[in-house]
Amino acid sequence: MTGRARMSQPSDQELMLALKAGDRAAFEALYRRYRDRLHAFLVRYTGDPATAQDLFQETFLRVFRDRARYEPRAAFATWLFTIARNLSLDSLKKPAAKPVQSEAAIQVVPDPAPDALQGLERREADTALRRALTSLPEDDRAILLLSRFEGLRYSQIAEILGTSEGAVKVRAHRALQALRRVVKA
Amino acid sequence: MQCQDAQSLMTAYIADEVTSVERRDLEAHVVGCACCHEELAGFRQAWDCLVRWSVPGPDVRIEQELLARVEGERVTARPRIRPFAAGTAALAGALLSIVASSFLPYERAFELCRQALRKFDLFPGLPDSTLFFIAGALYGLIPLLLIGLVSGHLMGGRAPRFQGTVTGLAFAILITPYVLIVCSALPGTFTAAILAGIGLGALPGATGGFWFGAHAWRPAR
Repeated sequence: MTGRARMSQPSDQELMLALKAGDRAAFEALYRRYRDRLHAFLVRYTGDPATAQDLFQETFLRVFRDRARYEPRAAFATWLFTIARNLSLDSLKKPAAKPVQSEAAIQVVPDPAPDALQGLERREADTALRRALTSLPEDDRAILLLSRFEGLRYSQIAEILGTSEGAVKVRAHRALQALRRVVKA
Repeated sequence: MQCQDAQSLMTAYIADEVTSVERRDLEAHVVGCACCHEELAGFRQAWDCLVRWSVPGPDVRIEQELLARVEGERVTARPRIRPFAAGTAALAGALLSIVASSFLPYERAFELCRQALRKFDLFPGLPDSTLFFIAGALYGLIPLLLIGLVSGHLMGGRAPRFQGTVTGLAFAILITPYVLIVCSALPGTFTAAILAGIGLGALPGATGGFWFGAHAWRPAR
């Protein structure tokens, strides 16, 4: 993004303040900015696309309904992922919740490997890795996803999880270590 | 740096969450340690493998459903009153009005109003109680307009008109005892006219002041 383009686009905080003042278009702008990221996070975190879709809607609805509670000092992404993670935890605690590791969720995206056998091996390795990821404890999984895919800092993740930055650092290492063992195998 | 320390930093290193000193020490260690070099490559491989897990965007149907649900929600922001801010603004307005009336008493303001109307030959048959009402309105309108401008500017766009209305009402309550005391020598109708003027002047002063302060008088970004 160029400097000029960045200047012309309102920040997340500005959009949230506009939404607080009743501007519905600001909500749609925030939605379009975060829709893919949030949806991908929820699919990877819950391991179930159907549950993820419900949570996706609920998260954005919660953003809309709780807009008055948003404080500009907090980064919008941190607030959004906190809501998403809390709703996901509630959903996973319900007895009727679908199990993590649904086959649909860990489906491997076709890989353009030159050699068919090599491609198959790589897909199997990826599937095993994703299965390992979805079997991690919820917080460890959230830390890895937020750090790897969302590029959030450990301090932001600590805020989302309600823990310390040091704890995030330790858990992130433990989680990647578990995945590394799968890759090594 | 020991191998154990180096390996405990590897995830943070890959995620760019180490300090410059940690980075330098780890890199120096890995260059000279084949075991840690291999470990780091393993961590990086796992980290890189993750990114191949691509997820398609949400279904269009989900998006339509969500936006329809949002459409059904109440859009206007619920005005939230800030009692402390309203109380402080009302008190400041009352003090300002009292200071103004000590420099220019209500009776003097009434005289000035009458002279001004005579000078410009306006409303010749206006009763004295109406003139007291007009004079009183100025003691409500001007202080609250000034205080509202400052308060609205400081508070930003937080339901300024609602906040202004509450401030105006609180001001009217606060100023009443003072007006009753200083106007005790005046006939009751005149005192009532001054009070009504102050109250009715305070409301547009406060709401207008808060609104302008919140919307028009904002620093350039």
